[in-house]
Amino acid sequence: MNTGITMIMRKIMQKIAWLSLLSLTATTAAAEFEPEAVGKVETLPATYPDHWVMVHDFSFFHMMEGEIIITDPLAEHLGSQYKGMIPASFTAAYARSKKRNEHYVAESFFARGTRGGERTDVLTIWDPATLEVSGEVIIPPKRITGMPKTTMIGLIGDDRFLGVYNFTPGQSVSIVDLEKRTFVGEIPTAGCAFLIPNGKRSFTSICSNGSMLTSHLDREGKLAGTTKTPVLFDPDNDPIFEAPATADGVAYFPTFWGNVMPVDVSGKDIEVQGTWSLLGDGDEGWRPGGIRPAVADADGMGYFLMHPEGGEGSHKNPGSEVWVYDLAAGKRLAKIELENWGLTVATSGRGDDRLMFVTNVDMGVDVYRLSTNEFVHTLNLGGTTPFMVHGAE
Amino acid sequence: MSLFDRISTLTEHATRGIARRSSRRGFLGVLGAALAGTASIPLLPVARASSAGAGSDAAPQTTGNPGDPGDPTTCDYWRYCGIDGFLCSCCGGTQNSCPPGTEMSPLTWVGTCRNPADGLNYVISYNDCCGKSSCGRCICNRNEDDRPVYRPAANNDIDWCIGTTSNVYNCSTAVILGLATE
Repeated sequence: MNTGITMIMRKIMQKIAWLSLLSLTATTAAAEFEPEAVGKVETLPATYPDHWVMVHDFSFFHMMEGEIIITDPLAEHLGSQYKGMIPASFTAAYARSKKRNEHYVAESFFARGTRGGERTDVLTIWDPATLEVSGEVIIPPKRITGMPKTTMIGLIGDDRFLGVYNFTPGQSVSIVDLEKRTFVGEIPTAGCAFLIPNGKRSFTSICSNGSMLTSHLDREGKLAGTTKTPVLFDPDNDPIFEAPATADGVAYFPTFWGNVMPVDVSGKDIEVQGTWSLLGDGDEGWRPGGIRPAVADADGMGYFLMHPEGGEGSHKNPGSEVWVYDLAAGKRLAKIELENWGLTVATSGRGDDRLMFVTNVDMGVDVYRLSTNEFVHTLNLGGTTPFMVHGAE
Repeated sequence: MSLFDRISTLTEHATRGIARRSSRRGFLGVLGAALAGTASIPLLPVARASSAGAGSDAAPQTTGNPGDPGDPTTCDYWRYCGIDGFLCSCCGGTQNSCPPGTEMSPLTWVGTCRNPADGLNYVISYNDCCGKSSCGRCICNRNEDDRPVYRPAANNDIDWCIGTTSNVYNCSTAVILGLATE
């Protein structure tokens, strides 16, 4: 009995539903849609506008899942700011060659994920338009892992070669031939760290005693000879930061205490120029600091992230101002009071279209227009720890 | 790893500077605070998100040793004067031991911290615990005596999960090696 009633009720309900649907289709005008294709995937322009930047989300809380986010920082809408993404596994290092028009990511993979297993280090080459892998070169599983520095990776010899800094804790640099897409070899840099490309086909490393070691490559990317300087700075009492602001063939290294040591890297052998100070009258206690405290722009101006009341141990503190310098003249041009305290400074664009980027302590990326030093807006790209922004360099 | 994250440390003065100049963000309102010596070191937002020690509702804890004062789950604990990373004390380990199933790195950097209980300086070894992903709790970055990577024996930016089965960083300890000689 109950079953029969239930079946009747179900049929009634079905009829009501059909009538409702017919009524709806009869009274509602359909929006006009052409049938859409399934499977469409976007691409980017092969040549990016000068003001675009590559934001490296380091993914500090999930290090296997780092990302390089290609970004239009002036776009007003969320959808047009985020252009696409390249994965960058485990504290990766990023570089870009405009000449070869490629992205490079030096990264590490583990056969068993976060619990380890065999480690494979790879230089992954990405096509800028499709954001697909266009090649990869296996390199020794020795690349340094840790907080990012721009000097952990570098383009050498007019972008023919790329070097990756190794730390095991033995130190060396792996050389990749970008034309042949092969690993060339490992160049020992005992006691010296990083690579700052110089001259026609050389790179310079910073040594623990305050000297510098320059390694010269031959046409095939193999070591042809080295040059070592005497001690250039005091690594105990006023060390230089690991990465300089480089403009017009000169690498300007800020020091913990606010000096600048310019190193001419245009020739085969480097030449240190006269040290000057970021600080002027009334600037006592101000120091450079952060994750990336110094950068130059395409016009040769230098930008230094500064914090007040600095002292021993303050060299990674966020900054409240960016001080702008004519680097060649060692002369300050402006102090930019930041909208938010920042940890990283970067630039992009040219001339009146130059932009400055500051990763702020809320982990947003603040955009400033350098023609007026005005704050534009904050980019929140979805990443958790955008420690580095790559633009004009 | 004695790794990373600058996402912390402002001086008390700097904090006042934020309040003065960035009040529209209500910045101070979202900061947890830890004390380091006499200076206030606020944890910045990412740190706060990962914090189960300072700024959380968890009850403070001690080492149980009057000669080893402070709370090892907070960034102001005296041994952490040069640490950089997630505190193992919040991750299943302690200030001198690793969480279960991880592996302590045999290599690391050493610093010197002053023990407020006796006023003496101790040599501290900041060994990382490795083989599992970031713990994500109680992030702490202090940089007394830290020097750049080209002085590796004095640097906390390096992932010190070296010489271990896995290079993957989980959290950091602060092991007393002994009294520092001047």
